Amino acid sequence: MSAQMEFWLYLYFPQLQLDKLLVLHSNTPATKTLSDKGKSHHLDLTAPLAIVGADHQLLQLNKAARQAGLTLGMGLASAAALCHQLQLIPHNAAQEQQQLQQLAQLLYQYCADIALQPNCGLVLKLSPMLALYGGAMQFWQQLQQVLQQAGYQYHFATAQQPLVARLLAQQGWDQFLLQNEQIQQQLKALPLQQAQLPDKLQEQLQRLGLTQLGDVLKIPQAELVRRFGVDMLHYLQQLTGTKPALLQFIQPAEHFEQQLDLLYEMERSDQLLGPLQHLFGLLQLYLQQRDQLAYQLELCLQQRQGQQQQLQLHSAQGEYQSKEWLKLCELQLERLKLNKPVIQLKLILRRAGPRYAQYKTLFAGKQQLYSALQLLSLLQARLGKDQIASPCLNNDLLPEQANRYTTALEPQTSIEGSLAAVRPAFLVDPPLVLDAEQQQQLQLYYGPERLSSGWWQQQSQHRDYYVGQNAQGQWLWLFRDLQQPEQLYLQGYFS
Amino acid sequence: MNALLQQLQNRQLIWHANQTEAPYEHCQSTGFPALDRLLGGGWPQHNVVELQSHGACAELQLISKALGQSGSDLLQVWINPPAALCAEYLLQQKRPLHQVLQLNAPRSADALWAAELCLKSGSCTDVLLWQNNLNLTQLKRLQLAAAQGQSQLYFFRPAMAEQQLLPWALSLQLTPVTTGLQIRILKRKGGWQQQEVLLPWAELYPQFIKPELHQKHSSHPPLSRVS
Repeated sequence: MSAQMEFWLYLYFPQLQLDKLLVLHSNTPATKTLSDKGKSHHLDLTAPLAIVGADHQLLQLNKAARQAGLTLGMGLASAAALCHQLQLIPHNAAQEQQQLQQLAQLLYQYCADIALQPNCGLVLKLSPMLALYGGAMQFWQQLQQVLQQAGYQYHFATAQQPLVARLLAQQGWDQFLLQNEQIQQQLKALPLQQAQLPDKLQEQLQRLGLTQLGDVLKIPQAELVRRFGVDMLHYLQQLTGTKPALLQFIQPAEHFEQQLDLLYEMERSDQLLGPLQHLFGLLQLYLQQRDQLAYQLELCLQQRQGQQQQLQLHSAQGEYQSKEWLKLCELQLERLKLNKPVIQLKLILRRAGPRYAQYKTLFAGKQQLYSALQLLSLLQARLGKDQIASPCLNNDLLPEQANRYTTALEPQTSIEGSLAAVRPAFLVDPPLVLDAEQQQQLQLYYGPERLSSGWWQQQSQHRDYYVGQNAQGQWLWLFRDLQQPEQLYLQGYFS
Repeated sequence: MNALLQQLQNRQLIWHANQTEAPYEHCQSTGFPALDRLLGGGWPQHNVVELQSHGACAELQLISKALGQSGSDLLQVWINPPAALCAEYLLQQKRPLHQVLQLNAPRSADALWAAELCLKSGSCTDVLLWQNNLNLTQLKRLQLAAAQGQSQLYFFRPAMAEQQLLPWALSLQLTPVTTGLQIRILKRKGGWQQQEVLLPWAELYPQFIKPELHQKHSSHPPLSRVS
């Protein structure tokens, strides 16, 4: 039977929110020095710390808090009595859900069928993956490695039915087994309080004197259903696997948009680099999974009082590696002045494309540190996009119209026709009027070269161009407008 | 050798006459035989060259042959040029326009940073930088970057009376006189200083100065281009 071949792994993450803080803390060494100074608004993760639910119960505790004698589920009043310097953080279910999503995306690299479960759990379908990894233990080792790198605490269990795996994982069984007998044995010994029955059913069963799940399973199913109704039937069907579980498996995200709450308010832009590294790491993972390169990113710095600043990050060549993006971002942050302290970062991928092999000069005998496009991105990040340009030639006779600038490094269409013999390296735009004294000191060497342009429109121009040298010995490109022949204009410098 | 001398030598405190800095290994001809002779072969390669002048006196003309020979598949970067670049001039020099970058960096720290990045990137052949001041550390950084990226920096700055002595591979002062351009060596690695050469204008600007006519107003008929 195919149902017997199915095996599920349930991963339960008991303290996602707290672990996230610890992971972030290890990424930002600056926090430690600041917290040592005893600033009140910085969290100290080595001192007792607890996550508190809406009903004022402790949900997650760090090591120091446990050592101080606090336990899970304790009320705030007794917690404060036991440990007066306890730091409290409100529980944030939305944030935990987001972290669970991230974990699922991370594991998607290794397992095809993953479903999110309520209460910080993930269920993975093992059976189809075993052939790929050549055995259950190899697969499990791979998963363990990934989970360890992510840095979250977890409990796990395997079973032929998702519900059984969940019950055992939340109990903290932590066994990776593919023998059904042992699993069933463990299941039968499960206390009824932990069986996740609807409250009413659980109370009724307990009044009958049943304490373990095994006691319930001994009673014939038909009898149970007749007495306890359709809820019992659903539960038993899930427990025995006679009805397939309704699971919605995750799909890889279509867009990359990640946000990160900072541990404390950051006032200097260089402090942001630690948390940013984490975000760019997620981006790298996203891009690697899709074999893509990112060309444009948007970074939103959420600040106090609902303000925000935005940064556009560009890479002309396209990058996926977090260290390259971090370098580009660092250059932009250097120029940025923060209006208000930053409390949250948000990174959005705006433009991405497929990844091609990047060719570098192999035969020129040069060691290339950056390609031309990478160089351009770095320059643009620090100097600003509009400070860098390539010259271009337009099809016009007037020098100030013909010689313009365009986007840097963009291939240009060539213009047919022969080039004029005499053109200076630098142009003055608009042309400068020379006064009588300056004209007196000039010595003309070459010309005239007549340019007549615009006669087909209203603004016709007829100019005679000369090369001259002024009293300082500088070589100038000059012209005389035929409508006022006594006046000389300076058009450019030979150099 | 006695022990004291040996000790001094080990600490590299003794200068040997036979260890004077050798002149640069690779040279790029300037295209002007007289200047080549003065410089002992031409422009030093993969290094920093300083050109001091008031501007608009053939300083680009001096390096145009070297720029032309350094390959057109890599970038040429102009940082803070004194005026807008003329695309027609660049095309005359056989330089593809999309391989030319112009940077405007109002702050001098940014300009130096950009120059260093371009030099060491390995995707530029020549960097032309207009800047007023430079100190020893900055010059050393630029020289290392040029050597690392096998690129060349031409550093243009206004002629100034008093100068801080910097270890340029080559530093030239350009002064226009009536007959031509006077080129004086201010500093040259492994060579003698204070030598001069005069390049006549006709040699520098052959396209518009005829050798026999260069003092007189030219008399050939007006060129005209009418479209």
